[in-house]
Amino acid sequence: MSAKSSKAGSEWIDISVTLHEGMIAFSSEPLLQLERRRSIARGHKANNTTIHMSVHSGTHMDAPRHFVADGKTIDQMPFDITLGRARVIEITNPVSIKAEELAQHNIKRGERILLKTHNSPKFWQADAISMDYLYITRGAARFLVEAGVKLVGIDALSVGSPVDPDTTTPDTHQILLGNEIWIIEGLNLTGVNPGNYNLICLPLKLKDTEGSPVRAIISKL
Amino acid sequence: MTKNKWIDVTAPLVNGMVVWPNDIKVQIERRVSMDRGDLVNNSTISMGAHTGTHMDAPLHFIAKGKSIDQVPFDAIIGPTRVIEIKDKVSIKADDLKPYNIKRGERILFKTRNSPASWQNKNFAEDFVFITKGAAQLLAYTKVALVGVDYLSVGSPVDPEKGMKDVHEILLGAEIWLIEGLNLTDVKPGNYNLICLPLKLMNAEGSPVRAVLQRIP
Repeated sequence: MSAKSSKAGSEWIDISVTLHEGMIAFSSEPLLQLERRRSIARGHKANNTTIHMSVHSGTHMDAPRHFVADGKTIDQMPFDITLGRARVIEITNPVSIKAEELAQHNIKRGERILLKTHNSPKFWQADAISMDYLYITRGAARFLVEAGVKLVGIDALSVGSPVDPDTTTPDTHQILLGNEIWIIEGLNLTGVNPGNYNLICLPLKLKDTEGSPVRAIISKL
Repeated sequence: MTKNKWIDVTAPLVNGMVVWPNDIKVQIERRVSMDRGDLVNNSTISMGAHTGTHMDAPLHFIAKGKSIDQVPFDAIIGPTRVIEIKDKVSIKADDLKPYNIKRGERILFKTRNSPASWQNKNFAEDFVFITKGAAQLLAYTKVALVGVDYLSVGSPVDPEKGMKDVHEILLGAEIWLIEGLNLTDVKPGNYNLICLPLKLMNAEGSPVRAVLQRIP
């Protein structure tokens, strides 16, 4: 992929959610705060904002270190993981992402897979976080490991579910991250058709950190 | 895509890193930690939006200017020219004239800041900066983007006291700014740039990740 390839073809589609106070977040996470510490409206020369947030806010990545004690951190991620061709797969199951459904899509080694579910736009339009979002089951996580994908993206704040008795949130994360599959969570895939895209997703260069907020965009191939 | 490698021109974000003198310090805190017996690692960050490698949106100095969540991707993704400035003090209009800079270009200035200013353990107030004259030339030319290799386009020790003016000239012309690039490993020439800020609502800037790929 080259950065200019989009110019000849299609427009960039922003699949990142806006970071703002009061945004959808898990209750276990600290609240995001954007504080305009200096403000032209209050007589300062410039506007200057301070950011307080969990690195797992909004559209973000999980590095292996999130669940693997000696796993790679976000600043160690090779750019090849998040820059290049990606496939958006539409999941029709209304409850969860299962191996049987993924098996219909001929997923290949080294692919970057973004899973579009009923979460887009439902998850993001709600007034408060809903716990019945679509997630990756244990079986589907193992399927993705067997397939050998390098990246999985999902349109909810977590790949795992807090309410499935058979697959805990740690299960899904441990299977994926334990096999060094990097994860993008919190994508908004509303309006994105299934198919092939160029993906650009860049995390901040947070030293020794297990995740980072990202900006993620795609352009149709 | 791997024919040409991506060069990371982003400064790492780390506790204790150099920030602008009156800015808040970076805090990356592992709030939940496997080392302490928790099931996961989970970190929180506190930082100024103008920390490390970051962008300034017009709203930084222009009361009704665009905010960082409004940056068009065309300003920050695409062909870019890295121009090396040999002047040890500042980037002057005369330094730019030989380069035939065109409307809509994305221009990154490599100066002695890379690596000298980055190697300074303290804030390097004598970094190479953009003069008012050079800012006016860039605004007149209407480039799309200007990047510099230390924490600001303007200098706190500029004899013309141009800190506010240089920002206002550039941002007032809706030129988007990347500050705090580390161009140590980059030769002058043509590159593909990808620079992405966070989508911070109504914010006047954002930390970014910026990468370059040589155009043969």
